[in-house]
Amino acid sequence: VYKRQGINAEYGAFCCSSPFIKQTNPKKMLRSKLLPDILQQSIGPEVKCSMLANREGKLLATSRDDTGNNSPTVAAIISNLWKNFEKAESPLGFLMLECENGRVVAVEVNRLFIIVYGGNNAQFGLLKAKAETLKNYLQGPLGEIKFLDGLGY
Amino acid sequence: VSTQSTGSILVIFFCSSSLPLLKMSPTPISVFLENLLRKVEGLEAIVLSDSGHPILSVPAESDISDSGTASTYCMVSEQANKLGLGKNKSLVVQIDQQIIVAFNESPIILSFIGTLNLNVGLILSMTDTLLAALKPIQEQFNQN
Repeated sequence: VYKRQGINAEYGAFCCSSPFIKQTNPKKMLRSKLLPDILQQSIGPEVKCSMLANREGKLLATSRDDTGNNSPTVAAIISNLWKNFEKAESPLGFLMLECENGRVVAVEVNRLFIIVYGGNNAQFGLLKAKAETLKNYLQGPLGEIKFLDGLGY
Repeated sequence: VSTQSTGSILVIFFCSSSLPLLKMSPTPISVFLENLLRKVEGLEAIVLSDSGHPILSVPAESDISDSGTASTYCMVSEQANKLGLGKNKSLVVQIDQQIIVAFNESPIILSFIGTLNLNVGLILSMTDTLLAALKPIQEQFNQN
């Protein structure tokens, strides 16, 4: 059921008026303004940026310290790489890339990607652990929203 | 060193002791990879590919495949170079119950295929060594 709603006074949360987000529970909405703060918690000396992107490669949120110069490109490329490697009957668990000047780890949560990247001094184990922790934490809230592929959400 | 006596020339070559061991006792790449296969926990197969087409597989009789990862990696390696983090060196991906570690010396891809218990860190610690070993093969393929 697709509903148009305004501000949900009972919970004080703004409900998106988009008809494209199916609400399994009309009283529950994703408080998207908290996402940068959640992603920011994974930032450290070795981790430069964390982001949440959809399967079309569009950014949903990035960590607060992100300068924003490279994030849209990284999100677009990682989502494309993921879709290329994914097979219909063999889902991907994680994707890790090592480049000359940095390392990237990507995991999937409810049709979205959590992407964590750092410099050369970032260890893969740490990047993966942070990505998995973010995934486990966001699995619940993101699992209550059904994203419709191909509509840019 | 050459000597000349009674109209003949005797040329003696001395091998320098500083020559790399590889030239003194060359080791085929397949023997090198077989040694790796025995030493790394969780490793099931190693495949050397050219533009996604397997050219060497260790063990030779193995039917374990990389699920097309090498050919896909060959296709998308150029995109990975555009992440803004420099040239892409390697990739680790979990597909279903396999973990695949692939090293990129385009068009040569070296793939390590293993179970979920694969010691990925050990393979990645050999990145520089493996890429250096792939360089001559890559140059040979580029010449052809």
